[in-house]
Order: sequence, then C-alpha cells, then structure tokens
Amino acid sequence: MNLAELNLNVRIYTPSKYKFIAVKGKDSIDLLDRLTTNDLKSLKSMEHAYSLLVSPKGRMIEMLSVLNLEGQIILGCSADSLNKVLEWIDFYTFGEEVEIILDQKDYQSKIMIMGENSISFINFIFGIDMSLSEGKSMFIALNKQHYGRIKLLIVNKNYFDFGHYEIYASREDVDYVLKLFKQNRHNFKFVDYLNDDKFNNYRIVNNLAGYPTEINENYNPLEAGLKKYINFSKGCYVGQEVIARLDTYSKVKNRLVLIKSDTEVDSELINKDKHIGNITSYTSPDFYNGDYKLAYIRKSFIKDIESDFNFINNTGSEIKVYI
Amino acid sequence: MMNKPSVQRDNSGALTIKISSDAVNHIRSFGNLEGKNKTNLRVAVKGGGCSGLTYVLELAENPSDNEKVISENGMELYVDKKSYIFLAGTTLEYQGGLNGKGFVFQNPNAKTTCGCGTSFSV
Repeated sequence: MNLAELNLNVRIYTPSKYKFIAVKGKDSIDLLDRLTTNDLKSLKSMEHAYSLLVSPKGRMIEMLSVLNLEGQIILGCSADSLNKVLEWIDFYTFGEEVEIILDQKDYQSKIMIMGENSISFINFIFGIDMSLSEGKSMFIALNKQHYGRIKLLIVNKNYFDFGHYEIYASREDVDYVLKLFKQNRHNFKFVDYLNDDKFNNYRIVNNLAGYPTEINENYNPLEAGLKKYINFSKGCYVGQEVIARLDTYSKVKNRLVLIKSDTEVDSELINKDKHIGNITSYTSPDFYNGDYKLAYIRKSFIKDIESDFNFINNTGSEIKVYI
Repeated sequence: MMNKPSVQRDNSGALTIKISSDAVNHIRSFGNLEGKNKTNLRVAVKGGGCSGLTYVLELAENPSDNEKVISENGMELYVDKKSYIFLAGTTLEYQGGLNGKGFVFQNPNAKTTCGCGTSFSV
C-alpha cells in the first residue's frame, strides 16, 4: 500500500451518523472552553477547532468539532455520542446563559472532501478559489436550479493532515451539492465516493482515531495521537490536571498505531506471554484483505523505536507496526 | 398575577452549608473594601476546573429568584438549587497566615479535589 499515492486522490464522504447542534447564549464559548481541551476562547468568528471532552480522569468522552459562527456555536459529533455529549454539557451547566438547539435546520449534514487535491477539486467545482488556512471557514452562495440561491458553509478542518475540507448545509442542499459533484465527475478524475466502511478503511490506514473504537473512556487523548487538540497553556478545564501530568512526566501508557498482519489475529495482542496492546479497528476484507488495523500498543513495548518494526504474537502471526 | 420570587429560607439546621466566623469576618472586610454596607455571600458551583466542578464565591446583597438562603454566623449565604446538590454539608472556612490557602471548602460530597483545591469531582 502506498499511502502517499492513496492520499493524492480526492475522497468524498457524507457520514451517515453525524450530528450538528447549535449552542447559543453569551456563556456558550466560556462553558465549552471550561469543559474541553482546546483554547476555544481564542476562537474568532468563522473559525473552527477540534476540542475534546474528557472526564476528570483525563479519559476521552468525544472529540467535538467546534465552529464559531456569528451568534452561535455549531458543535459536531457522532450521532451515537450525542446523548452522552448533551448529558455531559447539561451536568456541568449551572447558571450559565446557554441554549442548545438540537433541530436547527441550517446545518444538518456535511460533505467531507479529503486528499491532497481536495481544494483543487472544490475550486474546480465551484469555479472560484476557496483556499482557506486551517481552521478557517467561509460562506458561498450557489445558484440552485429552480430553487434560487443556496448558502453553503465551507470549512478547512484538516483532521486528515494532507487536506480536508468540509461543506456544511441542510440535508437537501447537501444532496444537491453531491449531485453537482457527480455531474462533474468526468471532468475530475481520481475521485472516490466513500461509504461508511470505505471511510473507516481510509481513516484506519491514516492512523486516525474514531469514535467509539479509539475515542472512548478507556484511553486519553495523548494515547490517541490527539495532542494537537490540547492547549497546555489555556488554564483549567475538566481533566486538565491529569492530562498535564501525563504529558509532563511522560506517563502516557499506550500509543495508537497502524499495524498490519496478513493472518487473523485476536484483538488482544500478546508477545512473549505479555499483554502488549489491543486492536481497536479493522479494515474491511475487501481492502488489502483486511490486513490493516489500528491498535493501542504499550509504549513500554515500542520503547524508543523510531521506525517500523515487526514482532511475532503468541499465536505465531507476524505483525508489522508502523511508527 | 405576579410570580413571587421563590427564595427559600432554611432554618432547619439539617444538611446545610456552614461558614466559620473567621470566614465571615474576612468576607465582611472584603465587603468594606468595596464600600458595601450589607455584605452577604453567593456560593455556587460551575463546570470546569481540573476535577470538573469549581467553587464560585461572590459578594451579594440580596438573593436572586430560586436561590436558597442559609443564615449562619450573622451572614446570609445564597445558593442556587443545582449548586446546593453538590454543596450540601459543606463548611466554608478561612485559613489565614503566610501558608494559609484563604477560603477553603470542606465538602463531604467531593470524592477528589484538584491540587490547588479550587475544583472537585463527585
């Protein structure tokens, strides 16, 4: 598998299980800043950041997508984690002026456009330069046949380091834009439309944590490779003391890595009778025979190794670890 | 018909919030510094802080609607209902001196407290 080549293509994906909610009220940003890991108080209008909800023990509840629009915050999370996220916010809300709107109509769905050529693709489709720096967003107006103008929100998110834009819109408008993409498919080669399984494969080979397989209460964000979404100078937030201590004293126990094995392996990884980690995500069998997986592996096993290595697990399977 | 403010006065002495006379004196002196004749205290909890919940202290003259009023050592404490759930049984003390921490919450509901003592979890 040549990852560099794989990431050149443009991948388009509309998650089937994703939910946007709007948070309004003068205390919204302050509350979210106190509950999550990233510096949200510095988030200017039209700026986006990922920020993690963590427990007081520093374990992950969910990774939130936070977009500061004029007068409201658009929060995005997995539809499966929504109730938990809402309960979490509700538990920590006391006298703050915060209103959560679950059924807002402007942003009901999103299109993820990933790959090094994602911005070229967007520019080609819409006919204007929409290059944005990371974390920035902009509105574009589009003439929709027979329906007048529609407004789309484009965000440069960069969870996929090599290029990752998203379009937020109503469900109807997302369908319209997807149709537009498909009408132009002959003009732009190397575009793949991903379903949930294919997206999962893509995420796994890029070693990106997902909810709930890697982002859950068994692990902390430092183990999941999500350190860039933690601000270590913002001051107190729920879980801050534990996370700061783990980082300062290098106490992080596991590391999320991409592994490869061409034979079936148990989810528990054992080497020389010692538990060394757990597999958390599997690629589907139609993608390189399902050989690629994500696993949390003990840092004490990886030690200071700085390049890919192989080991034999207790069932005799050879496993390659990508560092 | 106007709604009456639902301020509840707690004189039962049951599970309540207590404040030491030393803490009362210090709050009064803070009130004097701000030129207030009548100083009472709003005690609350808010989300955040390393351990999840942070204590909030604020000088106040009167209770807001829906706040519980607790009289202790000549001072009124105003507590909203949600904060009260996490503060019932707490004693607010004052530790002075060079090594003192200032206002200290002895909260029996707190399972863990962060290093600096300003936040707790239940």
